[in-house]
Amino acid sequence: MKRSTNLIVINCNNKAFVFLRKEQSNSGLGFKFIKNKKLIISKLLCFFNLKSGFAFLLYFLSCVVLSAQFETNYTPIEISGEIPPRFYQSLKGMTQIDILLEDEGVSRRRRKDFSTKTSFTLREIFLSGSIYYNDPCTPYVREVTKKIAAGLPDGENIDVFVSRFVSPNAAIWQDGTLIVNIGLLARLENEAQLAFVIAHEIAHYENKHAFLQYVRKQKPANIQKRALDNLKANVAYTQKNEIEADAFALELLNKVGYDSRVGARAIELIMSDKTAGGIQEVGTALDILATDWCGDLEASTYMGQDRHEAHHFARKMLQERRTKIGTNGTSNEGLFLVSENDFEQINGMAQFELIENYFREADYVSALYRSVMLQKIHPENQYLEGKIVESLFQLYLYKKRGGMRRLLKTNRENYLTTDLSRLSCFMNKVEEATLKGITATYLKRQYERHGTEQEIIAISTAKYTELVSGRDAAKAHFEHYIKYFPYGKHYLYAKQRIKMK
Amino acid sequence: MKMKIKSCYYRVSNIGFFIFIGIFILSMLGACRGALHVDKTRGFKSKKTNIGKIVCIDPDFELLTTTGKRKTKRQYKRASAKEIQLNNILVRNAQKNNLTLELVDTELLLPSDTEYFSQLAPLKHEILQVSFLQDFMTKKKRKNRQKVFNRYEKGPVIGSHFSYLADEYGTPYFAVQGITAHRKPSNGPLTYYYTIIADVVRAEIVYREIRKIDAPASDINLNALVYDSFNIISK
Repeated sequence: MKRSTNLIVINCNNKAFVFLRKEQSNSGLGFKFIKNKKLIISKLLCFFNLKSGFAFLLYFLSCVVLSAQFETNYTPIEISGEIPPRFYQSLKGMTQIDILLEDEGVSRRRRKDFSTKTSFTLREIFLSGSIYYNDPCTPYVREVTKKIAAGLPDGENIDVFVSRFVSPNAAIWQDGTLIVNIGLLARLENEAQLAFVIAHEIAHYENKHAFLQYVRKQKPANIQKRALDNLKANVAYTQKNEIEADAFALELLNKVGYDSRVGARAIELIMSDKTAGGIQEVGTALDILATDWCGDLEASTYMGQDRHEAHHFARKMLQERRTKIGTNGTSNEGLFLVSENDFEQINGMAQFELIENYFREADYVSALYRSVMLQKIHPENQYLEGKIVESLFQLYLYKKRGGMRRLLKTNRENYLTTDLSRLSCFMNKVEEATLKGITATYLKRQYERHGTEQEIIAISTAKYTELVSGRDAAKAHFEHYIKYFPYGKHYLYAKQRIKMK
Repeated sequence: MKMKIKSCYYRVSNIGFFIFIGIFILSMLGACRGALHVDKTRGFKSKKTNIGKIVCIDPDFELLTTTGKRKTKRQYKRASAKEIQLNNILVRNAQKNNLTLELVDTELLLPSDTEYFSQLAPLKHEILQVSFLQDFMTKKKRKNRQKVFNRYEKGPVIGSHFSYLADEYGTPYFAVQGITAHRKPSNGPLTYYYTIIADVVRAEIVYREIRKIDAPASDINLNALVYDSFNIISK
C-alpha cells in the first residue's frame, strides 16, 4: 500500500474537518485525492444534503474542541483555504496609495517612489509566509478595528492581518494595511488594550506619519517592516509622532466606549514581560541547579555588551509615553466591547502560537522558557511537552556542532528580560556533557510517558539517539516511529534513516 | 579565460594592416563582452548526489544601487522585471543539463495556490535560516567567500517534518536560488549568485554555492553562471 499524507483541515473560524487519505496504488481502492480542500467539503455537504445543519454541528464541535484542546493538546494554526482578495492584492504588489497623498504638496515622483516601496515591502512580508489568513485570530482583531475605525473618514480603507512575528508590536502602512503581531496578542490582558494599540496605529495612518517622515528624510519608506520584527520598533517614528498618536488613540477609545486608562498598562506590557520571575520553574522542570545559573551582571554582558543598555533609549521613550498617558487617561468603563470570550480564546491561542513561532525563528531558548512557563497553567498539555523536548534537542545539537554562540547572538534581541538573559547565558556557558544529561533525562521521562502517543517525542528520541550513540543504536527508535506513526510527517525521514548504512 | 596571442608575420599593405587590426580588435571586443572567469579548480571530495529533479522555490532577484552619498537603494521594479528573465535562464539551463526543474514562481500564484504558504514558504524560510545559523566556516574560508562550493556529506540540518513533501513533489530536492546585483560608484558592478539545495528526506542541506563576479547581472553573465552551476549539480 502506498503511503500518502493525511488531509486535515482545521479552520477554527468556520469549522473543523479531518479527512484521512489512503491511496492504494495496486488495487486502485481507497479515497481519491482531491487537492482542493474546499471541494471535498462542499461535495460532502452536498452528499448529506444538510448543509446548514451539518455546518452548525461542525461549528459546535470545533468550539468544543478548541476550548478543550488547551488542556491536553494544541494544534498549531495551519494556513488553508483560498487566499483572501486583499491578501492576494498585497501579494501581487498592487498596493495603491497615490490618491491618498495627493494633497500633501509632494512631487509625483516622490509619491510614486513611496508607493512602490510600500507595495514591494508589503509584498515581501506577505510572500514570506509570516501572515496568517483564514485563521481564528484575524476575524476577532478585525472586529475590534472595525469598532474603533467606524467613525473615521478613512476607516473603511483599514484592513487587518495577524502576523507570526514574535515582537509585541503592530504596524500600519499608508494603504491601510494594519499588521498585528501574534507576540502582541499573547501579551495583552484585555480587549481595550488591543483597541488602544490599534487606535494608536490608526493615528499614524490618519496623520500620514510614515509618509511625512519619508518626505522630510527622517526615516526610510519601509520603517514599518523593521518595526514588526524588531523590539527597537518603538523608535520607528519620532517621539513627537508617538505622543500625538497616543493622544489620538485615547480620544478615540473614549469616543467608542473603551476604558482609556488601559493605555498606560498596554505600554507597560509591551515594555516588560509578564512571565518574568519564572527562572526557578525552568530549573525545577529541567533539573538545573540554582548554582549553575548566571548572575544578573554576567547574564546581561556575556554577549560583549549590556543589551539592556542598548535598548535604553527605546525604553526611555516608552516610559515617557506611559507617564503622559497615565496623566491624561480618563475613567470610562468598558474592557470588552466585542467579546470577552473571544479575547480569552485568542489570547490563549496566541500563547501557543508564540511558542510555535519562536521555534520557527530558531529561538529555542525563548521557546523552551515559554513552554515551561505555560506548562504551569496547562500541566498536561502534550504540545508543550513536545516543544520542550524539541527545543532541548535543538539546543544540544547546536552545542555539539559548535554553533550555540551564533544561535544565541542571532536571537539576542529577544533576551531582554532577566530570566531569558540568564537562561541564554546558561546555554552559552554550559558544558556539552551537562546539556546532554539534561536533554537525556527530560527526553527519557517523556518517552516513557508518551513515546507511543506523541510523534514529536518519538522522532526526537530517535534523532537524539542517533546524534549521541550513532545510527545503529537509533534504528530501533526509527522503527518504533514508523510502527506507531505511519502517517506522520517524519515518516519518509525515519524510513530513510533505517535504510542508510 | 586566458588567451595567448602568438605573433603574426604577414606582409600586408599599410591600409590592409590597419583594416586587419581594426577587425581583429572589434572581433575581440565582441567575443570578450560578457566573458566570464569561472573557477573550476576546486573539486568535490564527497560522493555525487545525482540530482535529477529540483523544485526551485521562488528565485529572488535583488538589485541594489549605492549612490555617491553612500546611500544604498533597492530598485524594486527593475528587479521584478529581471526576476522573470532569471526564471527563464534557470529553466533553459536546466534543460541543457538534463535537469528537471519545477520552478515555483510567486508572480504566477493564484488565489487557490495555498500550498505555497502552507508548505513551500516555511521550507524556504527554514533553508535560509539553517544555512545562516549552521554556517560553521572558519574565518580563513570566510575571507574567500566569493567562491564557496559545498557538497555536503553531513550538512546543516533542517526540520524532518518537511520530508512528506518529497511524496507530493516527486523529488526530495528543494532549492533556494537567487541573485543579488550591487552597483557601487567606486567598485563598479558586483553580482552574487547563490544556490542552496536541501534534501527534505535526509533533512539536510546537501549542496550550497555562492559565486561573486565583478560584472553586471546581464543575461549573458547569468546564463554562464547558471549553466555552470547546473552542470555541477546534475553530475
